[in-house]
Amino acid sequence: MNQRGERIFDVIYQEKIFLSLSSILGFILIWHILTDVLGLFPALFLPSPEKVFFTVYEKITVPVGEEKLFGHVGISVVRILVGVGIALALAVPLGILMGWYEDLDSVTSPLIEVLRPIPPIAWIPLAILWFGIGLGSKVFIIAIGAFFPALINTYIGVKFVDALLIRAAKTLGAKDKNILWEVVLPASVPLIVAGVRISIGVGMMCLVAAELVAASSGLGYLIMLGGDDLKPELSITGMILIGVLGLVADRVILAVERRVIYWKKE
Amino acid sequence: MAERKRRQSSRRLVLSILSFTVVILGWYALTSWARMVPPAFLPPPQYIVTDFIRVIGSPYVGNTLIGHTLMSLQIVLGGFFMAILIGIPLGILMGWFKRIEAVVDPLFQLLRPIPPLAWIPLSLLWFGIGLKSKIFVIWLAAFVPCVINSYTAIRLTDPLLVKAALGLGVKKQRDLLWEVAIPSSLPVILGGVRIGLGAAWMTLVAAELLASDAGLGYMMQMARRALEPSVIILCMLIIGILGALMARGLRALEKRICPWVKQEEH
Repeated sequence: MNQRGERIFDVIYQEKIFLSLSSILGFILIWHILTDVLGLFPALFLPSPEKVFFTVYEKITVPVGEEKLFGHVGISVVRILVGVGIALALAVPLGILMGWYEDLDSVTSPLIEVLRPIPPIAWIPLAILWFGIGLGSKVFIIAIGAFFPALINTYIGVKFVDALLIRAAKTLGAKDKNILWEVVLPASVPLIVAGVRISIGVGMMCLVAAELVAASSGLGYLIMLGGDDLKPELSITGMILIGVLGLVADRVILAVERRVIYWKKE
Repeated sequence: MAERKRRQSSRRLVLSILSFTVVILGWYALTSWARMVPPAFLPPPQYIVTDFIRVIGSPYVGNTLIGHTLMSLQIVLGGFFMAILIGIPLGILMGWFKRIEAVVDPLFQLLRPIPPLAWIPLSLLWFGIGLKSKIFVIWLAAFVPCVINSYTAIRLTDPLLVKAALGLGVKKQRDLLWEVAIPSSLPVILGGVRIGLGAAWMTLVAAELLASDAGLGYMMQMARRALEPSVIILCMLIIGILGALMARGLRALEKRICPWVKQEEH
């Protein structure tokens, strides 16, 4: 039974890889046929896959606007890191305090509940008015977007720690301070890390939005410029790079997560 | 115990109201009374009320407040319902049929890391700045979570339920899908719908900020150009309230559709 089972599994597995590969290749092939062979879509509308490829290749050395391709990537990365960094530096401590001190929770919650439903993107006009179109407004938007998921997750993580753990620690003679530092915080780390992951995702989205609306550099600017200058290949280049950046960020967080919460098996 | 709990919750209420009042009063004091912040930067709170009264009756950049709001709602709901109609069946098919999964999933993974917002310039190029381009982007934003949640929910159907159904004499695959897999996945599918609505609302604001001639996002953008931050803040509040109301409505619907699920608080 075992051998036969394995063989069937092999076949299914191979078929899956085959179907997956042919689906991606088929997608590119159809794209190629529609644009280059049949010419159904003019290049101003949908450029061919080769054209996108060569655009990526070319822009590595030829500057667009003020920067070359990786210059734009670098600028976007800096914005994201600063924005998310500020958000985490504020949200995680505040979340811990709110989860731990009931009175602080009562004071801050209503304000947060008013601000939270406003999508971070809706802050863009006000941010531009306040900080101009430079680094400040982008960092502000990203920080607002990244702040709430990190805050809420930290808060929930601290507030709803398994009561059994706390009671056990109390029985063993722990003081309040020790309970917070040695029981509650370690127990809430998985949720906090999950919050950070969501924060980075939202931060990415805010970055793109802020750069689309007003910027003269960064990946969002490339995407917008492609639309304005009727060079869709430039937009697609920016979209691909944003996607890659998102994937890399997610991988990094997952690796960190595995390192930090090594005790939690998947 | 009950007595203590009641006292705690009334203390919470008092603190909440107190913090709210302090913030509004502080805002008023800073802007209107001490005049430390110029109104072009942060308007006093009462400006927002007077602006609300002004724009609800007479048109502001082409429409009254109600007109702009209806415009935004129409687009968001259009894209959102199309996403549900296409996304959920596709997700269910992907979760149930291994072959469909193998073909569609890689394409999906390829497109997924790109934030839906980043499609806005291409969408404008393809569909112009009218309704169609916005509906496309919003559809995309809501479509992805709908597919992912239905796909994972169906795939991870509890094998125990399937075994029990088989043991009870269910013969046809179709019955297994309709009577076991889909009902047991409903909560997760609806969760995806809720995430999709949030994403759609956020993307709509971005699309309207970028290119539009009506809607709340457009109104904010125009108010920014006219240096009227009170109108911007008014729009932000309305966007926040509408988003929260729609989420609330979906939650109520969820409770109606799957009453057996215990709802979590956040």
